[in-house]
Amino acid sequence: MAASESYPDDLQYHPEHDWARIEGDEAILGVTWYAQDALGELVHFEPPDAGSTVAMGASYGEVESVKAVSDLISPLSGEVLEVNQKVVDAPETVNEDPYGDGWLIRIRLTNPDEREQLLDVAAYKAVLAES
Amino acid sequence: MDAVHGWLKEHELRGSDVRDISEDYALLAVQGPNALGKLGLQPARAFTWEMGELDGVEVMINRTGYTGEEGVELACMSDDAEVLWDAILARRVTPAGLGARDTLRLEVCYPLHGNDIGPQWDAISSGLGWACALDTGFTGAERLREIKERGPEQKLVPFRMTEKAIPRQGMGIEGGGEVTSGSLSPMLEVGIGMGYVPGASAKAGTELVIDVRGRARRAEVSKKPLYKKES
Repeated sequence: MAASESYPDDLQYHPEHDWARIEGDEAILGVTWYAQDALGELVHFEPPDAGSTVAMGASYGEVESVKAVSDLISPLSGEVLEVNQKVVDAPETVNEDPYGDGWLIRIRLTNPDEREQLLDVAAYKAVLAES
Repeated sequence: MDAVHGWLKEHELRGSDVRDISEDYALLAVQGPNALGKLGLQPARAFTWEMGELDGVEVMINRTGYTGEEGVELACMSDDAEVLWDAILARRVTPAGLGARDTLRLEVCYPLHGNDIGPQWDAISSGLGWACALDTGFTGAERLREIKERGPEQKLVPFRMTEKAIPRQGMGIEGGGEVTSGSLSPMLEVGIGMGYVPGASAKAGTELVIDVRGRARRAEVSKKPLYKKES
């Protein structure tokens, strides 16, 4: 079952339709409802290796639907601590629960100040309204 | 279509008149296990056609479907296409786009013109030798006989991924070769595709390595079809 449209208040957003849930010096990353809806049912998640580094605004992996491939853009810089194996095994989890079980990776932040550049939910919704 | 029209025009016989009237016609395919029942049609032999009528629209009913499923392709005049579309949907038929169709034809290894077959490949390399009466004198027959005797340098083969990845058109195959069609098989739940590989690598069971946007992912040459419906 696909999730219904929502954009939680407690997340930070990147205009490339990625979200970050920042907790201390770590963050959990995922894609927004809008992104999964645009792609359709996800059938493949190509994750980064644990221990590799991701950079704000750069691709850290890919998600694919039957018809399309999309780069995952990291909203923050950091070191990959964990990949969500559940999404590797069942990529449609992202469609079912994009902000919960469908999270993608957990990172340790290497430049926590970057969060100042991210969007709050109102600003992200404004991005969506323009797209 | 331009290629076919160009060829016919070039070989036009005296007294004949080759024109491209494709724009005058529309084609809607109704495919799937219940297709005939929903349209109230009886089964008929593949690659035959008959004239018929659906909600007042005159249609040419073609048994030339390309999905590996039972079904028909309905041709009508372009002006009637909207009425025909509504008439089909009124029979509780679900619209599906080419992406969905593509997974079906790929599972049964039907080559698609523009992807898997085209003017850059000959019929023997493309696995279409069965459609060529090589003992006759059709245009190009001699060249095809040569290729068949010598063995084609490259062959079109179906394959399935043995590692997690979805092959896509244009990806390179290690050792010289290219993916011409690729998708995720909804029935097999693995990446599948077709591509040209060196003749020596064309045997079923041969391991292939595909360049998936910079990552080497393994696949295996398969037999046709990649998926066979359980009956």
